[in-house]
Amino acid sequence: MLSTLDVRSAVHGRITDLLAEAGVAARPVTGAESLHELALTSLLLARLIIELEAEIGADPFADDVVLADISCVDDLVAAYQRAAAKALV
Amino acid sequence: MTAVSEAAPAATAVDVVEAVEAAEPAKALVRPGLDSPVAVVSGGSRGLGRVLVERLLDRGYRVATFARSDTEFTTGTATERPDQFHFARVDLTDTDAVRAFVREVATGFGRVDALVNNAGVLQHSELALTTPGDQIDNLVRANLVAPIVLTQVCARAMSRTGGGTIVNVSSINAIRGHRGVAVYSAAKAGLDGFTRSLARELGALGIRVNSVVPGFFESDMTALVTDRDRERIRRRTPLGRVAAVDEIADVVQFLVSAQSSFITGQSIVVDGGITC
Repeated sequence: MLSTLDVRSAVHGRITDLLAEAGVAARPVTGAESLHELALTSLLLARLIIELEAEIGADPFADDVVLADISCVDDLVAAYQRAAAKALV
Repeated sequence: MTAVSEAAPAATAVDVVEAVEAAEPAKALVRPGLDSPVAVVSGGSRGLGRVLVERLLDRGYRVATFARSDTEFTTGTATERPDQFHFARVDLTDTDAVRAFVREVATGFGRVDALVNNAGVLQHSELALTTPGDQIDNLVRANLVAPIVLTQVCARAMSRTGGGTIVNVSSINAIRGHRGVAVYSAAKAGLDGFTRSLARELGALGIRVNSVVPGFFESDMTALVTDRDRERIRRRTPLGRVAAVDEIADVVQFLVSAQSSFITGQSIVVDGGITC
């Protein structure tokens, strides 16, 4: 299971990869950006969740988290950190 | 986003099976290995599910299936083909167990290329007005919620390896009213609606989604049909008989195969014309 820092790095890394694959101009992900601002379409977001489930071993959206409550990348990181910690218990 | 291209897509494990099958149609065609495609079939211990499992195994697929209990077929096949066949006792209405089953398959086999949502539950005829609440829950959970959950987990696995194909086994009760099966009909009609919308969502990931809508065919589910009703069905069917299970399996197999590579979001009725 990934550490807190690794989870952040995994989320940022996958977002960067998916945006690059989608041809969106590259820029560093800071965490404060909204998902909308990053031009993550619903399909890219679905692929992000699928890839993070494989990499982190947890899916916060399978339980109690609702995508509509995630406003920025930091929220997403926090959701995965909580889910990863829960999976360890 | 992946650019739209007219170039042929890269060959998948399914393509390899289909190519060999085309060259040598009479044999069990591909020796299963780590690269061979993986199919998940719900309810593959008997009936249509069993026929589908046998056909997929003979075509070189590694097959994972589940049902509430073992049968001679599942026990024998697991012994004879341990690397190619996986069976687990899972209750279709236990969605957590269904989810866990597919995760175990995706990890163990390394991929999922095809899903056939075959398992279904049809209890004794019961008017909707008097169907108990727990029976309503059970029918909807088994015939609609379970296939949705199974599809969600399998589609995630398919998206990681470039795509796949999903076939939902519906029923003519989804398209014609029949007394005593209103809840079952609602669930199956829901499955057809799910098929169409899901095809729109998953097309971009290279995943095709279709449903087969069988009419009456010889199965455990139709064994309870009385001789009188069976005769009535025969009279109303333009082809004058009920289907053999192989006639339904043929269409499912076609939709799983690369021969249907440009078909998605469709419901194919296989009913001898009874609904035409």
